[in-house]
Amino acid sequence: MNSGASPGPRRSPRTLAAHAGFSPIGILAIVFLLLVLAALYVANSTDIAPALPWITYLLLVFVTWGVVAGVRREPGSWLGRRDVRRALVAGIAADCVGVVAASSPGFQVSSATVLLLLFLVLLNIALGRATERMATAPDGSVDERQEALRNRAHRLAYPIFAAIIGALLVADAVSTQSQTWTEHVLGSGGLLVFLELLFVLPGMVLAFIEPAPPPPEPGAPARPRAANVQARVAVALVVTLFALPFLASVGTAVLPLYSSAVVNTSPPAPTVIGTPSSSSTGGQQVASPACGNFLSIVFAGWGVSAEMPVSAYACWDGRRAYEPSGTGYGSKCWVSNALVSIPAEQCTPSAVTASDGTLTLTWRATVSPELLPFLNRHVDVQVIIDRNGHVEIHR
Amino acid sequence: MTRSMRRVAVISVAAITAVLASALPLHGFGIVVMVALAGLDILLLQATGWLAFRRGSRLDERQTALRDRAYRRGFRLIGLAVLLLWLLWFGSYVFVVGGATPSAGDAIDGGIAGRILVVIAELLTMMATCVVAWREDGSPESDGGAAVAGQGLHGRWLAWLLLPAIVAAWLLAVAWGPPQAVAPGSISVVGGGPASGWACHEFGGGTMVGADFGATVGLRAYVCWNGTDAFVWGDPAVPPPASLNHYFKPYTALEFDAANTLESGCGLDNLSDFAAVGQTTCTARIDANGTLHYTVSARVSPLPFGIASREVSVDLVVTRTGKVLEQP
Repeated sequence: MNSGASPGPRRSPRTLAAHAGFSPIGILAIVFLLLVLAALYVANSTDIAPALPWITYLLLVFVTWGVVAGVRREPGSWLGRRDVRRALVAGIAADCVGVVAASSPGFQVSSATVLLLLFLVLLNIALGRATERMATAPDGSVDERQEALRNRAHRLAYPIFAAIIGALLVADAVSTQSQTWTEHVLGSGGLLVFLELLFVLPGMVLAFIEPAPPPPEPGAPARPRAANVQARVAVALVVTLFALPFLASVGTAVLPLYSSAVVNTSPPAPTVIGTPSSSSTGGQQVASPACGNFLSIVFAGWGVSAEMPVSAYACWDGRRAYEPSGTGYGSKCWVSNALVSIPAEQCTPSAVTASDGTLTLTWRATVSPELLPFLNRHVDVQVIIDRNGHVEIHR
Repeated sequence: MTRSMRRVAVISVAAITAVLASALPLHGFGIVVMVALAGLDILLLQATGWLAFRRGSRLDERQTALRDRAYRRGFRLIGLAVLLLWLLWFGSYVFVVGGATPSAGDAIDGGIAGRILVVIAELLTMMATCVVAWREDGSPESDGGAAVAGQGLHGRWLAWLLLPAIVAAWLLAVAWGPPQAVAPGSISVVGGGPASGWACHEFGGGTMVGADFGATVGLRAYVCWNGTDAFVWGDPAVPPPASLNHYFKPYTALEFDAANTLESGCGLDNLSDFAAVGQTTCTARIDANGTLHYTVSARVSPLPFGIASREVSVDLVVTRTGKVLEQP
């Protein structure tokens, strides 16, 4: 708890151990996620493909949590630096604004909100380490200077909190438009931000006002090598965690599309119309054309991804493949798995029959990662069925 | 003021805040509760020498420490208080409503109710003072706090002028302030009527005087139209036009049951926390063109015996084709 050069009562070794490394809840969460992964693998579930990146990401979140929580703030460490602390405060404030802006009314949590909340949890953990949870520490574990500092932080946080809530109340009473805005804010991520401010704002103020620690004395012993390594790993993990969604967003625009195996849900053999008697009497046996309903799922991106369940219904008679009349398609065909928007989609495919009788059905869409909305990708999905009913998907 | 007296004052503040935060009807006496709360606040502020609001440069080290510690504890208590008050509101809401839905006021949406605004403002402004008053062994003002803050006898009485100022501002707003339209609330908007060829729409809204600290005259009407007439459906006080009598033979008993009047209702949605609302009348007139003129009017009285009362009305005009010419 003691920081800088100020001496004071030290926490018991047990307390320190409890705050270093993985908590039992973190370990349980990691074990649970590993079990989910194993169960999906054993069950050979088709849902594992879109779920895998997110489960992996959650695992990484918990590992990062454990590593960051295990980093002790010591004189000269990166978490104790004033600019790092202030950057954390700015990050939390920006994240809160993002949570409100990204949330839709009615407590519907979008994937962007979930991601921002994950970041918020991590930032809160880092803030807790940076301030050594001084704001919420029991009275007996802080010295006089720290007690005065955290009391002052609460006094400064109080009017900030009151001003934010007061502004919302004034907005609620001023006009119908501002009332609608207030209800939107409170009905979406505003409640989460309210809780965040209620529990973390004093810690944020404390991180902001706490003076920079004095430089280590020339004769002071160097930090243990292991502590340095853990701190660097923690930084690397945090950076990775923040960078991954953006990298995956870029991947949505540049990675090749991939698809599941094509399944034909219609019986393959043609049926015969007519009776033996009619044949014996010279009637002509008419072979009905073979038809197939070909199903597959096309994916764009990994982790930050969208998918399109392709359903192509076609018939063929050895001379050509064709789309039976009356084949209908829905108005929505692309589904966002996470953090992807579909600005445009053409769900009724254009059908072209080539001179060799090959039928090509083409669906078009534009997908855009929500985190990098300026990246647009035009996607063409083609199902090609030849005159003998052989199918392949071109992406 | 002794410590025990200060604690009694803090408990009284908590009790009054709980009453305001609950769903118990105030029947127009909200201003009395609010003034009582403000009076207790002034008492506590004077008993603590306005410590929570004094500048650090005017405080000694001990007072500064006391003030800052009170803010820390107060900040923590806000979260607990919000949770407890929400539970209280929910419990009292279930008690008052008794499971019946929708309840009074559902057709209008006044945002956060005035009584809740008072509760939140009280929590935010007075929590630190309450902590100081509750925890301090002695009286902070005995340390010369009042004198430091420039709080002589004159200053002490000046603070009490806040109470008549609150009452005057409230009376001014309720009795003479411009009325405001209130947006529709949680009512559903549905189409289709009980007979073929009808289209229906549920209208809600109201007129508010005194902003959130006055009263609201609400309107809730399920209006149908069939190309010939527009009329209110489901309110026994507003019978359908005679030209539609042949439609109502099969429906009369069911639809006009007094217990089944939630779609339309006269006075169901009045809100009267800070001023009484009485003499509510609902009139429906269908003119020669089949246009419905539906008016809800009531008398809003901020003071007993109708003193400074005013007539407030809400109008709804719908043509026989469903065109809305006027609505709250």
